[in-house]
Amino acid sequence: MNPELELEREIHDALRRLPQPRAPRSLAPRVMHAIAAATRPQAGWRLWALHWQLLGLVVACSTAIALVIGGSLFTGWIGGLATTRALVTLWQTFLAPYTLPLLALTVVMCVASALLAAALKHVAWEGQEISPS
Amino acid sequence: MSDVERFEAFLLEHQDRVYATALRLVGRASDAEDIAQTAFLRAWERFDTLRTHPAAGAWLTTVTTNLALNHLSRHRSRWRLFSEIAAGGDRQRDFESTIAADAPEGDPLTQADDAARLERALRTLPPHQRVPIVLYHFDEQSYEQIATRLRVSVGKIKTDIHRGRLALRAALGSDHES
Repeated sequence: MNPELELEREIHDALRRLPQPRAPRSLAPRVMHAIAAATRPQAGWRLWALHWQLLGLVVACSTAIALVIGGSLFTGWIGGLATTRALVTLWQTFLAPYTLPLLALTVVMCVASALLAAALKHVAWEGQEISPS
Repeated sequence: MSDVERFEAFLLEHQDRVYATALRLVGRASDAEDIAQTAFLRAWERFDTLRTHPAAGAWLTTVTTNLALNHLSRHRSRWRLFSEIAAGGDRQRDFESTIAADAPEGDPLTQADDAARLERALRTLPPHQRVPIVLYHFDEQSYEQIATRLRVSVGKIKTDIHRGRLALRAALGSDHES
């Protein structure tokens, strides 16, 4: 008999006789927990009653307006202080000219880091993808 | 009965087969459990159609197989990168001789021992042998189908399967040698 066919049949019979491995007891609870988390109703402003949504909107807008007005009043008051004028002068003389270049450099470094991380991830962590049905 | 309860029954019905499929392909229990969980979460997303579909089990097996193969592809790329950086060569062990060396000589093997040794030997095969063997003998795919799925040549599949079978035969002991 063909030795290859004999080997194929021998291994096929042996493998098919193997008992099916049992799933661990932790599998079902893990899956059900993940499903419970996914189906949990999301809390949020859109789920509030209408009158509470409107009240929340009014409070948020009022807070934002108060912060803007308060911030400008505070800035005006603090600008009048002599110490602050000195600090402002120092800032304008020594630091302000370099602010924009430093900001640009920071943005470029962040973008470069993100691109490098994406490239490393593609090379090291992702291979051929087979689309699941 | 709620959808969640129905799905739990569905899960309990198919979990052994899904887990076994994943375990035999990836060879590691922890990875197999992760893959099985992902497969069932995908089944949950489609449970409206799956719960009454006669081929739900086959669908699950297909999804599990694809997830396992994707998992192996990711790890193959990762380890290929680091092995090329570190060693710059093929470091495949001779699994046939390793498995044969582990087999105790002259030890009377019961059927359960044979099954345990075979299962262990299957898991310790290198992925390029184990995956085609599992797809051929358990999934009953042809050489051509396996080659297409794994994107390699039919000749390589036949060679890998043959070497894997030799390793498994060695694990079963000298009684089976012709």
